[in-house]
Amino acid sequence: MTWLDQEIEKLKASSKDYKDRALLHVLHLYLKETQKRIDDAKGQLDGQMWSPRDW
Amino acid sequence: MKTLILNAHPNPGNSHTQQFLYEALGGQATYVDLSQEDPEVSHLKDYDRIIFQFPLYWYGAPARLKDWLDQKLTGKEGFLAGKDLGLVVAFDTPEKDYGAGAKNRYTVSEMLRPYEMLANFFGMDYLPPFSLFQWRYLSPEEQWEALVAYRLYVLGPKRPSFAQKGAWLLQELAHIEGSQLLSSYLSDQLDELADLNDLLKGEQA
Repeated sequence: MTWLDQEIEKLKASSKDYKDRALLHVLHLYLKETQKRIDDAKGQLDGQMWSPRDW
Repeated sequence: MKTLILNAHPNPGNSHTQQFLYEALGGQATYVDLSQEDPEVSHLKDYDRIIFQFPLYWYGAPARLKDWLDQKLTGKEGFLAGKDLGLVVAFDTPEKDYGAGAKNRYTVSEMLRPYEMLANFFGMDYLPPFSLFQWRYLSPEEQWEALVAYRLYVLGPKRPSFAQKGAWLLQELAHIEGSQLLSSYLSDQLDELADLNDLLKGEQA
């Protein structure tokens, strides 16, 4: 379990509000997608830096 | 932003879906049950976003909405200019039944065109309809996702980009006790992604 997983589960467990738990669940999905986009963008930048065509 | 929801379900108190949506609002929008109230059109001018919310009955809204529109909605062209019109539609049938070649042949957007025409007449910005298909068959996680998506549609930025959705989630997160670390992480992630995207645009220019 990552830090993020633990943090989300901790907040969900302490929340009495159904809407808050829903928000935390969606936020968890959103953050995973954000990390994926960050990794993709970094990969794309790396690829462009090492592309002879772009030198 | 002020949102008005006009609910045209004949008996929303007896509907699990409508109760779910009502609870999802948390009192953050003005909610009118058209089966109990008969608001004047002038009332609409007080709001930035107006939502017609209803279960689909024979490819349209229940009669109460049409009744209210026919009796009350007299106004000049452009009367509600600049305001948003959104639709929240609950379906008892699956999503796959709507579309070219599907059981019902037409998309949801095509089916709801009269409301888009109404919005156009009154100078409103017509939002893509929000569809909720077979709520009772959704898993708990899917219900959570539907709840947040509904709140974003009704209360948040219209047609949000990925970044705008993140900014809205950050706002929503602020009221959860103990969420500062998570807020900070989200904020950092959004900044990092924005910076990387700017760099990519620069590289491609």
